[in-house]
Amino acid sequence: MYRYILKRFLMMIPVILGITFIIFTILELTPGDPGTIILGPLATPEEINALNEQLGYNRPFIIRYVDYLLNAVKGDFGRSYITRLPVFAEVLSRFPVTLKLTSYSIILTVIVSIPIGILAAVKQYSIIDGTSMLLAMFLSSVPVFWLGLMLILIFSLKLGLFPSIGNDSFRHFVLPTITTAAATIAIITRMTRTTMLEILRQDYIRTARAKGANSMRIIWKHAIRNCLIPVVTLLGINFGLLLGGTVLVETVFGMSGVGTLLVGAIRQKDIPVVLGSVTFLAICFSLINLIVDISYGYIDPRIKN
Amino acid sequence: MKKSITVLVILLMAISAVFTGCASEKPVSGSDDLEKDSFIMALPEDAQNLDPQNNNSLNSMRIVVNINETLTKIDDNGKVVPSLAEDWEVSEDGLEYIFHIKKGVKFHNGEELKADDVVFTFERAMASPFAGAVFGPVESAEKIDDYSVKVKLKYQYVPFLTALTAPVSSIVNKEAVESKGDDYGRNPVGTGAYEFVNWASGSQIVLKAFEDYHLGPAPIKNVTYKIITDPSTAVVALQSGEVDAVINVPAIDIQSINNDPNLTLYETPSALFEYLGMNTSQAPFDNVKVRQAIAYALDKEGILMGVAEGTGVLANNQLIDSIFGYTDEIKAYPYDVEKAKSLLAEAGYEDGFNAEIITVEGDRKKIAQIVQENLRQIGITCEISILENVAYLDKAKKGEFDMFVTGWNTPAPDADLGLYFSYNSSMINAMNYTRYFNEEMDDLLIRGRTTPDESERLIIYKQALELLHSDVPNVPIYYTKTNIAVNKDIKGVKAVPTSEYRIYNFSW
Repeated sequence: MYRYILKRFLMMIPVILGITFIIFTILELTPGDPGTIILGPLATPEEINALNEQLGYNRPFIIRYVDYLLNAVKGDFGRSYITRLPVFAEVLSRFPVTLKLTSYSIILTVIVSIPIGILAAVKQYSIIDGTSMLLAMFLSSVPVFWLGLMLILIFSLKLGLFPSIGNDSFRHFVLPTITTAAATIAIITRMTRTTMLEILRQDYIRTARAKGANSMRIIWKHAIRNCLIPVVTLLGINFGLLLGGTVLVETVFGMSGVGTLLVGAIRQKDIPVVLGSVTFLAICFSLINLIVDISYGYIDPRIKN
Repeated sequence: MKKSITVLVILLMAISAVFTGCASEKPVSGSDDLEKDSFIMALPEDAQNLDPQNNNSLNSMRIVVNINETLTKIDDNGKVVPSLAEDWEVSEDGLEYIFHIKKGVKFHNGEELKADDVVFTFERAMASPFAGAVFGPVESAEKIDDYSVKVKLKYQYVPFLTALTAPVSSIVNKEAVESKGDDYGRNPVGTGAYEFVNWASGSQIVLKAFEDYHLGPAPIKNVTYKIITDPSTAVVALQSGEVDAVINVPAIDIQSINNDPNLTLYETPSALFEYLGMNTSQAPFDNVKVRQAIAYALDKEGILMGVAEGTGVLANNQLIDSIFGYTDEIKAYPYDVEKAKSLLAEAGYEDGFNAEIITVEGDRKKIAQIVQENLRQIGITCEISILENVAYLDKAKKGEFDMFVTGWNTPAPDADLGLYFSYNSSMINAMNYTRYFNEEMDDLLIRGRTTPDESERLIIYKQALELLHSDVPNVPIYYTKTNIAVNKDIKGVKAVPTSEYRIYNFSW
């Protein structure tokens, strides 16, 4: 088991390196240098060159990249061009909001989708099946920001039940969580239902039924566990995607998470923050995939080999 | 098998317990609680830092004007009046200013404002790449005694006192800046009505009224700037009472603000105007008839309606009435397609030509699209290139374009600041994007900034505007309107062209 984990862990490293190299290159190719970005349009060329020299911008690309990596390993992701604060500290301070939003969404998804998906499969063609599939289609079709604004208009403005902006208390997270979870709920419900349907048609289920086993028991003991593999995969991938994709929800609900930090940095050409945020998210995503891979080993013993 | 499901469930429960546990249950902050000494304003973007001499961001300055003050300020009539400097003397040749500093003014850290702080601020500003527009003319600042400072200029610069009203000239406390070093921008100290409390990056900035403010403590005790990047979200937050004021409400939301009995909207034309610029250094735009033809061809009213939905003021010329030096006697070119076509033919281009317009995303792109259509009517086929901000600036400075759509904001209400940087030939490759080179204009602009007599200056600037009208290096289209939407119970609110609001004037 441990070799399996170790192998997976080691594979993470080239992935992260590749990502940082690609982002570094992309940012290199976009126009603009730190001097112009920080000092703005009113500065003279001499002042701009002086600042660029000071920030080490005039060195060759590879040297800057390697320098960045060596510092990153020590936890130093440089300083923001705009706020001059250490990037790592800034990203870390915004991370709890995004993590909470993503985690609550995944928890909500698990609570809602899996039972409904299973129910829809077990009672195929019933009202429950039809309604839940219709709802899933709706949730996957609506734009995220539309859903968010609609929820704000109804529950914040008209009914005054929840606040519309900010991330101070748990109540602030309710509407954003629903908005973020919507698309994932749609996917996971459908996936659970489909997988469950397939499993229920399997020979070993028929055998269990033939042996006289109780329906409920069949579902619990045999079906669900097998159903979990694709669902867990999807949940893991979605968790990773959500981590990077909460920007729209964070913007609509005025929350200060990594999403808004990243987008703000891109708009202001704050390159260290962009690099730092993307690297951070890449590491998180890889770790999550690692956890998902490891959990396979427990869910399905066949995979360990 | 049963164990793994159990493990999964326990894990999920543990995670949710941890998160609900560590979510601090703070009450929803908003003014629906009866705290009428608190005020919450929505800010569209986080400030960069609160150091007046080290940033060029509007959202930072919006907060700086509440924490710091300048030597002079602009009163309600647009005149320059004393602020931290209670009076001053100007030498005959206009090269020396002696400022007498008001006594007994306290900084937020308890220190008294002295000449040392003023000298320190000036030296800092002179070295800063962000303060060139105001402090370029300054040669030195020296202390005469504890409450007097002598400032020497490199050349005569009559608008100096007006320029000193800009937030970048705000006086900082020498001791505070020196002791805090790089951290000063996150921990500012000033003489203003509000002192800094804290800053949650990306979330909010909190200020509180300074009890020892030299003009008396502010009526509103606690001010919070909440960062809300999406303008529609900000409007909803205003309607639900979660914030008390929103700056620059987008045109589509103005109707719903006006319909809401709990909200009031104040608006005023700003000092920012949108225009079409042309590269006067290359053909065919080096021909004045071509430029005039283009000026006649633009349907300015159509652009104002189409882009800003009418929230704006058609521009007469490159200045507006809030800026000293403006005259309404120079009017814009009327919309006259036939005149445009005949002028183009006179210039030898009756078959038109192809050209490229560069601009950035947003409203300016829409302006460019209407301009493209207007010019098509007279035979000029334009291609629009949308560039990213930094790329656009790069091309603009280097003159790698035919035409461009952009805006110009005059930082302090004096014609010199509105015209010198854009139309003086020394500014080609910097802010004179149209590469306008006219010796008569250069002469007028130099005389404008070195002539002390106000009525003479008015004559000079009128001549400059006339010249700009006949030479037409750019076509001013409209001045934007800046607005502020507030809870109707707040008194003392007036829309300000710079959109930098001093909360000191507000009260419930």
